Amino acid sequence: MDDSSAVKIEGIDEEASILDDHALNTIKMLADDDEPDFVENLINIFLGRMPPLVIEISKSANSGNHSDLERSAHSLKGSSGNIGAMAMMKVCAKLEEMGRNQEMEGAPQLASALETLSQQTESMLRQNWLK
Amino acid sequence: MDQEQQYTVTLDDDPMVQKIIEKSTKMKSVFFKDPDDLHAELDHLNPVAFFIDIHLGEAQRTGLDLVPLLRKKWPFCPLLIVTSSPTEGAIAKALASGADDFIRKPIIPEELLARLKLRMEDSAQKAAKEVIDYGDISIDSVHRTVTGPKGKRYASPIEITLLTCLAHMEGAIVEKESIKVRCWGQIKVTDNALHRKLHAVRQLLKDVTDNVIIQTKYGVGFALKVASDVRIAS
Repeated sequence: MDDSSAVKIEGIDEEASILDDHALNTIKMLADDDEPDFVENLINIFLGRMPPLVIEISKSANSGNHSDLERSAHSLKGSSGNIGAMAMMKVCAKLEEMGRNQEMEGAPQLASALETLSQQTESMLRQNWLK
Repeated sequence: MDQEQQYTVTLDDDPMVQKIIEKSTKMKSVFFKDPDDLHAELDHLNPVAFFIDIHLGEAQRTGLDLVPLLRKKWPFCPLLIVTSSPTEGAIAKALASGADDFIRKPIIPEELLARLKLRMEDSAQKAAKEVIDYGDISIDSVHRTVTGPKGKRYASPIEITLLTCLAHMEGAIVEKESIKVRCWGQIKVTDNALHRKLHAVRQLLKDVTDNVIIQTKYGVGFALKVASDVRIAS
């Protein structure tokens, strides 16, 4: 775990790394002759998926649509985890739980924190992993 | 789909999952986002394993409904559930529906490969028990098929039991009472009924091979023989 990127988000109990370099290195090692830029390609898929899901999460959190929130947060949780975006994964897990339990208090604030976090994550991915 | 090349099938709403599975297993994975699309393609697929997400967020669907169908169609194909919310209830339901194992997201490539290999070995062992090769034919008692150089035939439950019962004895004679018990669960079955079934199985064998026959030992029973061996012996 790369602790240098650890962040504390309001509403989330424990600190989490923005990026888990170990997870990204594991993905990088999956590259082969057919696809030497595998990690870069995977990051690009993630960066394509992320913005619309962040918008959907924000919309559903603000409108109180708990089932949409649960669904979109679940999707982004899975993708974040697969790319080692641990802080985003944790925030999404919390938002998914809020949606599932229909306890939407604090959801707009957490969705707003997720927006900021997604920008930080994108910036770190571009800076450290995309040439 | 090229039948010679081994491949898996991934049902997930996230294309990243399919890509990670492909790289982890070094095998192509045919990707489906929607369970209905996978359902529509079932007859054209012959994968070595399925990776099924049970919580398809974007599609607002679950892959769980497909598990019993996949299990019925491929009794020995590993079905691995992929989930980022492994609640006890969902896992128990998936296993009860016929899944073999589950993989947690975020996916750990080494774990995924290890579980896949293990499940493929298990499945091969299970399949080997249910498929008997005798001479140049292969008898699959789960799918109720008999395959030989001349083709493949489907058999009725009693026919497949009869043939399996003879094949297990590897050429030795099986008494007719023993066949009656195995096939009908009782010996109060007329010889005529047994002979009708034997006739049907002989016809079925002729359709798939010229080299495996049922020999009659009058007053004793029946034996499955490789025809070339019988000719050499006589």
